[in-house]
Formats: sequence, structure tokens, C-alpha cells
Amino acid sequence: MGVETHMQVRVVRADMLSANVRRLTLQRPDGAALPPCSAGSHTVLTMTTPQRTARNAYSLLAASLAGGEWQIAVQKSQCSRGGSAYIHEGLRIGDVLTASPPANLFALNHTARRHVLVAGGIGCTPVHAMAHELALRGAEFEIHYAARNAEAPLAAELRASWGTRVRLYVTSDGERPDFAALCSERPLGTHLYVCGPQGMIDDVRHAARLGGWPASAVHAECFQAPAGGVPFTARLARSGVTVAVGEQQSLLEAIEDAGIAAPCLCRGGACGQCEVAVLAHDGELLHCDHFLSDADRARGDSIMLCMSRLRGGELVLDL
Amino acid sequence: MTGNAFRSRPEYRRLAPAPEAHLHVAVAAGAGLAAIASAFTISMQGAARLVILYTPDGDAFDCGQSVAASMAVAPDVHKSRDELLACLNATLDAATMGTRVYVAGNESFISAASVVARACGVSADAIELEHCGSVARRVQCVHCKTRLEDVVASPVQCSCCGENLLVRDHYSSRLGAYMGVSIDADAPGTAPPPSPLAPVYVAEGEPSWV
Repeated sequence: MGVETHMQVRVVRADMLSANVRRLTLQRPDGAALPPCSAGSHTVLTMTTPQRTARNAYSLLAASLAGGEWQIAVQKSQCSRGGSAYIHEGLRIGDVLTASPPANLFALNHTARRHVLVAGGIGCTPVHAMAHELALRGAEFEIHYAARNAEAPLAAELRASWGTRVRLYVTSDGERPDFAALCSERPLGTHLYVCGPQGMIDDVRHAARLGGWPASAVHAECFQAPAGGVPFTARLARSGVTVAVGEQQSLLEAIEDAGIAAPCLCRGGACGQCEVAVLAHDGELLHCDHFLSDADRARGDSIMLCMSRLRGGELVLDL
Repeated sequence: MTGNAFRSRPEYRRLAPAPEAHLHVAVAAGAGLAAIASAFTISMQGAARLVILYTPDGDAFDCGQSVAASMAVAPDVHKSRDELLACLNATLDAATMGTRVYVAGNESFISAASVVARACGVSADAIELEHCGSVARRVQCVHCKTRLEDVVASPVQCSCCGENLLVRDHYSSRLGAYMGVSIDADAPGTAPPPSPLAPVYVAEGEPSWV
């Protein structure tokens, strides 16, 4: 994704959806409309903090679908690497950020006859947009939202908009969605969408598999920051540059901080854009993505920059 | 996938019951019954339901006693392809997610059955296809939209508008037919004599599940 297509956006409104989730409303400073988008889309915001330049992907809420202005909801991460902490504490009304055009790796399949939307925690954000898009088309859907407590972000709004189609599970009361039941006795042509922690996604996929569901009917998006690790160096053979990858920094971020625009899109290991050939490495490649197959990983001749690391000294990349 | 030059062509492979399906719906025409029999033998265990629909469909295939006896359930025999497809439709209308469909027969039959299954909400990756018998395929005349059944050679004359059609390997899964386009539009009457269609491509390896 070329940086020249990125847009300036100004924070025009901010409110708290819950104790640790802040909703931002963004508009273009020049007054032009932000582009419309499909439900499930996200934008990557670039934030320059005192510590580092943070680039994080955020799902676009329902108000963004028609374009004009965009809304995102950001959870303050307990182990924030700067992005969400900045949005909660540093960002003020009127501040300007850089935003990428919308990209969608979690789109609805509109040939489906019924849509089962499952959200865990802040995973409610794409589901919020999906419900609106489905309602506009008169499609059948239901929402299963697992959150720590009843004052979960957007829970009241979802219930007000969609009534009995929404089921809230308060996990601190021991409530959990029964994924086996969700996957059972469903009419043909039902599709299931899950956005939440990786463990929840794994449980849903497992239940769908045991239920005999085909892969094409299960869609997932995981909000996961790249894991940190032992520092290592990356030598970019074509650029002739060597970068140091810090403990809390991803390989992609280290390359970008060195001023090199590496290919990327979702920054979450799902889309495949940032796959780069590995020319040499000492040590072990740690593949933390969701894109490469087991065979790809075993061959060890490529790596996903956004999520993966080296446990060793030097990684040589064809970049 | 190197053998299949046209990505739109259906993929055919040896049928095998999907391990996690709750309902298996197997449909066969003519020689396809042997493929179903070999996939769903009497030793098949499990709680899943199995429905087998069969039509002899004009193919000179004799479903021998031993083949019939080795199958996990007795097939539901239908006199005609249309009758079988109507029964398939009714079966799938009552079915739920967790259903897998298996089709065995010539391409013409496979196309017709796949269209019915897709219309009932079964997704493409929940339908397994095994090609048996002739290379006869369904062709849609792009000019008058008539669907020609059991085409075995190219070019073929459209039974409705009379155009001489080149039978292409480009396949529409929505229509359940290959593309037939005029071969002599620029110089009418210069169509070459028909030559037999090439054999179908058979994929290797197991299909992938969730």
C-alpha cells in the first residue's frame, strides 16, 4: 500500500464507550468526505508518539459505511506498545493523524442465507458495522457478544438497534457462548463470522469443523499485536541496510523506522502482503502469522514481516 | 493444480466421505454408482446419515448385485435425471449445515446436480465431484442462451439457433455449463468437422476441510 494514498484525518469528537474503550470520530481537515467502506473494513492509523511511530489497524464502525466521517473504537491495551496508550492519553480533539484507505479482510458473504456474528471483547467493532450492512440489505443475522461485563462497549446500542437478535454473554458471570450449539441445526447457506481473541477463534473453528461446516462458511479476524521477543538484526540485501529489531518492535516496524517502505496491509499476519523471501538466517525463524502453511514454514524460505521474528543473530531478507 | 489449465473448470477427484459431516447426500448417474459404492461401503461407521440417489440415466451401466450389496445403504433409484434432481432438491431443502454432497457421473450430470445443490445453499467446498463415464458435458450457447445437454464433440451445432459453436473449457458454475461460442462468425460455413472433447482433469490428493 503506497503511502501517497494515505489521508490526513482530524479527530473531531471523542467519547468513552466503556472504562477502557475510546471512540473517535474522524473527518478530513479539508472538509472533503472520507470514502465509504464495506463492513469488516479497517484503516491503519499512523501515530507519532514520543517513543516511536505507531501504526495500528482499527475496524471501522457502522457510521463509517456511508463515508463522510469515520468512527473507530480503541481499547486501551494493558501491554500497549504506544498506540492505544497514545489514543487514550495523548490524543486531543483537533489532532491530525494519517489514515490508510479502507481495506477489508473480513467481508460479509452476501450470498449467505443467514449470518451468525460472534464478537469477543473489542471484536465487537467490525460486528457493529456488519449488523448495519446486513440490516440495510434485509438479510437475516444474529449477534453473539461475549464481554467481561454488562456495560460492554456498544452492547446497549446493539440491543437497542437489533433487539432479540443480540445475545450478550457476561463472562465475569461465567456466561460463555456455546459454539457447538451455534453450529448445530443451522439452515444450509449459513455463514459464521468471529472477531475476538485467538483462543475464541480457535474454539469457533473447532466447533464448526466438528459440525461438518465447510471452510468457506467460517470467517475470522483476530486483533493481535505482534509479540515482542529477543532483539535481532535484519540485513536487507537489496537495500544494503541493516536494521536492529528491538524487543518491543516488530520486524516490519524496524524496517519502516529505517525509512524503508516494506509491503504490508493488515499488519496482523493474515493477508500475505508482507511476505518476503529469506536469503539466510542463523537461528530459528519464529512464524507468528496466520498466512503461511505448515509446508511453507518448514521450508523456511520466506517470512511475514509484520508478526514473525528470528530467534538468533541475523536474518537476511530479499528486500 | 498444474494440470488444470482453466481455473473455472470443476475439480474432480476420488470421492471419500467427509469425516465430520452429519449428513452425506450422494447422487449418481449411470457409471457413477460404482464411485459412490466404492466411497460409501458397508463398513462405513459413524452416526452420520447417508442418502444415496441414483438414476441409470441412459448410460449402459449395469449396477451389479455385488456392487449394490456392498453399499452402506441401498440407493434410491429414479427413472430419470429430472426425477432424481427433484428428489435431491427436496432432500437438501430439509437439510442443515454439516451436510456434504457427493456427485458422480458424466460432466453433464455433475453440472445439473451441482446447480441444484448450490441453489439449496450448499457451498462449492461442500460438494465433492467424481467424473465417471463419457466426457459428455453441458454447453450454453452464448448467442441464444440455450443449454445443450450431453455434448461430446466440438464444434457442436446449437439446436435452437443453428450456430456452429466452439465448445470452450471455460465453465460457469452458476449456469452449470461450459461456454459455447460461434466458431465461424467471421466466415460462415467454414466450421471444421467436430472432434471429440478432451478427457477431464482429475485432481490429486485429499480435499481440504475446515
